[in-house]
Amino acid sequence: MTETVHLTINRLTVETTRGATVLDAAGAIGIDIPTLCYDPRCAPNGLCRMCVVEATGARLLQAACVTRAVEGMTITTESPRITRARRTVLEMLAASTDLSETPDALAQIAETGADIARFAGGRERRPPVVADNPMFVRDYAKCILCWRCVQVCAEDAQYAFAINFDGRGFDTQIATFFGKPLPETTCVFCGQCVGVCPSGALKPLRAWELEHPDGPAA
Amino acid sequence: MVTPDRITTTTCPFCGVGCKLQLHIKDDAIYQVTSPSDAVVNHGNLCVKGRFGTDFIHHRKRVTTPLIRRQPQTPGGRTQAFDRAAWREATWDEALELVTDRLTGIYAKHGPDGLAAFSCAKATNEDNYLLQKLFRALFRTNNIDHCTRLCHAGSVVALMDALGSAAMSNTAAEVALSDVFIVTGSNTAETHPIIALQMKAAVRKRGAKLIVIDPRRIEMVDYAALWLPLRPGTDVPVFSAIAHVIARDGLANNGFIQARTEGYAEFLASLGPFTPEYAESVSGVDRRLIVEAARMYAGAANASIYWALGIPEHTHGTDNAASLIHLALMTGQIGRPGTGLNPLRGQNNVQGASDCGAMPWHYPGYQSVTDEAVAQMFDRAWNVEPGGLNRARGLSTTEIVGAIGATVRGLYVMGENPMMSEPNLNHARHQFEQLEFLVAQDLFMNETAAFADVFLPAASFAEKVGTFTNTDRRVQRVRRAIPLRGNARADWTIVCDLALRIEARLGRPTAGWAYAHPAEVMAEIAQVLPDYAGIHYERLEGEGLQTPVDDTSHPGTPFLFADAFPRGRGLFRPLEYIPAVEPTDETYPLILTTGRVLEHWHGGSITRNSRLDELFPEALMELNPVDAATTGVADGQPVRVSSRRGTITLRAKVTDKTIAGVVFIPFHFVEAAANLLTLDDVDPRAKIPEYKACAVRVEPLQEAARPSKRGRR
Amino acid sequence: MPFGISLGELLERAGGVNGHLQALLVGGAAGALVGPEALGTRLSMEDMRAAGLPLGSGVVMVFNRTRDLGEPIRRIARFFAHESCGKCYPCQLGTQRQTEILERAAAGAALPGDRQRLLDVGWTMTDASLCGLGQTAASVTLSALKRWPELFPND
Repeated sequence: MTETVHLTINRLTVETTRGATVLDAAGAIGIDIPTLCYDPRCAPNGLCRMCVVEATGARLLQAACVTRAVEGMTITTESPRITRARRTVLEMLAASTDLSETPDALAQIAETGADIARFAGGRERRPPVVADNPMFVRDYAKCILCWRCVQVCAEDAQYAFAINFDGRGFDTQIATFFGKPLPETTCVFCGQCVGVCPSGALKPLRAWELEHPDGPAA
Repeated sequence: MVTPDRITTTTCPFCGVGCKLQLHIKDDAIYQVTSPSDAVVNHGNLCVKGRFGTDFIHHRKRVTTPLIRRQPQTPGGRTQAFDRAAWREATWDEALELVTDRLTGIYAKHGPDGLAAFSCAKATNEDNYLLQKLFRALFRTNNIDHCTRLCHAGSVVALMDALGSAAMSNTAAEVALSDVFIVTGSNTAETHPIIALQMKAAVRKRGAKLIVIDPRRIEMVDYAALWLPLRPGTDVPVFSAIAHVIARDGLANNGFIQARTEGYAEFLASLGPFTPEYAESVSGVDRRLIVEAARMYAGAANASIYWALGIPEHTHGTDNAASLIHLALMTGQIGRPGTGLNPLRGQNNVQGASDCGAMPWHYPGYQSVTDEAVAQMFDRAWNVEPGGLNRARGLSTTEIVGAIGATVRGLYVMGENPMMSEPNLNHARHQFEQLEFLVAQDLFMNETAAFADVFLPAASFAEKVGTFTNTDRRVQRVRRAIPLRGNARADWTIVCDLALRIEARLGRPTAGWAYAHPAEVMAEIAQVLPDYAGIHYERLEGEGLQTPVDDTSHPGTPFLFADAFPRGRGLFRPLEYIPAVEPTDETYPLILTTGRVLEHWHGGSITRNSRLDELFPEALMELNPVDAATTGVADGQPVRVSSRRGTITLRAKVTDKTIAGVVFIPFHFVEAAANLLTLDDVDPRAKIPEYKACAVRVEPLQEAARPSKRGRR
Repeated sequence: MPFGISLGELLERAGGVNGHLQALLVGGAAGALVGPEALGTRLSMEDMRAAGLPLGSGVVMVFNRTRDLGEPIRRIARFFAHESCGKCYPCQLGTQRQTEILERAAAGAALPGDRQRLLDVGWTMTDASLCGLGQTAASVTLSALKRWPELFPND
């Protein structure tokens, strides 16, 4: 038997199943909490923090994708604090990576009124394109570090464990172990990573070729 | 960023899993393939072939106009012509008239036995239904078969005998509900990659226990609680010993045996000799592993068995499959979610091609051609005079090849490549050379088509409409994403056009070929194939339907045999251990077993004309380090591999993936065709050849003997 | 030291301040910068919380008026940028942006709006980061912004 819990989101009472997240519970009553890194195919990691909400009793904002709904919880999904966090994350992200093919981010930038030039002039992540195999191209200048690719390569789908995050802080990037070319790794070229990439960082070679008719990838 | 002109949802054309594909089209070309996360079969996951391997459609070597051989071919002097200069382009009218002339000519002279057809497990249900209808209704022959004969024929016969139904009993994804599951004779991670993901998740996320029984240390062994590395061909003793332990240790489900089965007493008596000690002596599997596997399987709340071609592709393939069936019947591990007997079907539509009657002994729906009532029904359905249809069983694929020159004079090959996939290819080549007339209907000038008189260019899966039936009996839509390439035509339209011409030439009343759309073909299939009775295209729009679908309100059937088996009681059958037909000896000291790799498909017509070939460009023979030392072969060294039937050269990969005494060669590579080595001895009942065991010799060669290709392995 | 003594007593017991006291960094790199007005605050859970100060690692660092406070603030910001694991966006991006703004201010190249940028980055990291590192990566900066507004670029 599935247990149910009751919580309040934006003054609406919601009944949901034990174990459901605040994001699930809000979605079930049509409250749209923005997300960037979240994908239903992947275990949520609470990375992008776009889904932060206020929960009574919690000093800090809580990421709705990883916060379990508990009985009696009261949630607010919009507040000046929340808006500042979302807008600032988007502004900082826009200054760091090429969001031109991340439609979710572009939509949220428009919605929050984020100023994408606000943090311009600082460091940007612009690594060169990696074309080391006949199947797909990795253009990490477009990577938003959502980790979906890492997760589907691991236990969320493929169990291949060919890629992981490398480095740390602002210099974090997705990479193979020891930076080896993909054909020398445990990659099986299933392309689950390409399938979940939200930002155009991973593309089939054919799509890349259509965009770059003048020559093959670097 | 490329924006698609359109995105077409369809079904993957590679393996039997039947993943949902979304083809992203720009300028009538596929540039990206995705899958929706809510796809019921694959949850948005794909493998390298479905994701990146559909580029074959646009390959420059694809043939898109009808071709006729310039040099007339004669029996005994028939040659292979890969060079386009040996062919001239023709109109469809000219090509089909020529085919009509020659086939009706052979029919007039030699009768029904003079003709045969290879139907196609890559083609749609509709294509297969129509081709068998053509050969049965017009040429009155049951000589129609397809590659199911070369894959699961032994499983089909054994399942039909024991249960009365030959398909997977359960939905593949139900492995998530299994506490214990056996994978045997299946390199699942490479041949059914998406089902393998579900298996891995069952182990890692749900704590299910996996028992792998396989001569190769396949990837799934990494996830296994037990691995029983058996010598090829010793399946019956190993599985019978497991049954022996189940009975001996009181683990049998007596209630189930009494209520649902028959023949148990005789079967039980036959298990006496199959002690774990005996099984160890013939299979090499540690007796303790056999005991542990028996206890694990029989003791589970829900246990299932998954197998692929390592079980049936033997001269005793039917017995191998029966030995698995016995385990489910004696433990009652069938008829519930997460249990069952699950032969993983290889081709995207091998289940459907079989369902639709592309088999020499059965009309659509596994209805026997020798059953008078059935034959009469089809006489009526196809507007054939009473008694007109052939009441005798036709020839299977390997039998067709064997009968060329003796009885079979004309052969129609739709989408298959027997000159790569038949065993003992030197013999098959000799036989093909004896044909009077050969038609190939394909995308590429493959090794079989190159022997033909007429080449009919067919549409790829992305250019046509139809249905595929996947390994767990799910009938799914195939939708047109791009226009026909060049002058290519959809198989079903080629067959109907040809049928009308043949029908007119033979002066027969029409069997009905005026279909406006494949949906109309499916409507006809639903009338003659009881399991498809409730299927029509509108009902297939979303996730398809799992057969049986008894009527138009029936919701489909995720798992079978909840209350009864189609034949009534499940049947036990005492088995004997019959060793592989060709034992090793001093001259041929190693066992060759053949199979597939992840990146390639069967005879290679498709995947070797794809970027997939860049990923895996060269045949490699897996050789255990022990045998590498004995034969003096280093990793990566070229070797000559010989059997009593042929010789090939390729590179060796020294690896623990194969056990000592056994080498593995994939059969995709024409430049080192594994089937030059294999045996054409067949299972006496299922007629399936022994692809999985023959005796070979391996000799090291100097580096210059085989130029290497750049590849990943 | 006994729990409950005041910050002032602590400094005296440690030998007093060389020169004129400018600031105290209480609680380590993830702590807060306060001025001499905090000397009366007692080092107890309740009193520190009431004063909005962290006990943190228990470290108290003392700066006299000869020191440029911007220098330890930048050093701490660089420390956090270096230590950020890169997992959650506020910290991965915010520690970098915080450092950049502080450094360009020190170089005399502050941009209009940088003060608000520091506040937004700081509060975003504090409110929304995944772990304690990100949640405190702006603690020193934010406390200093409040106490010494003149140290920071203004619009």
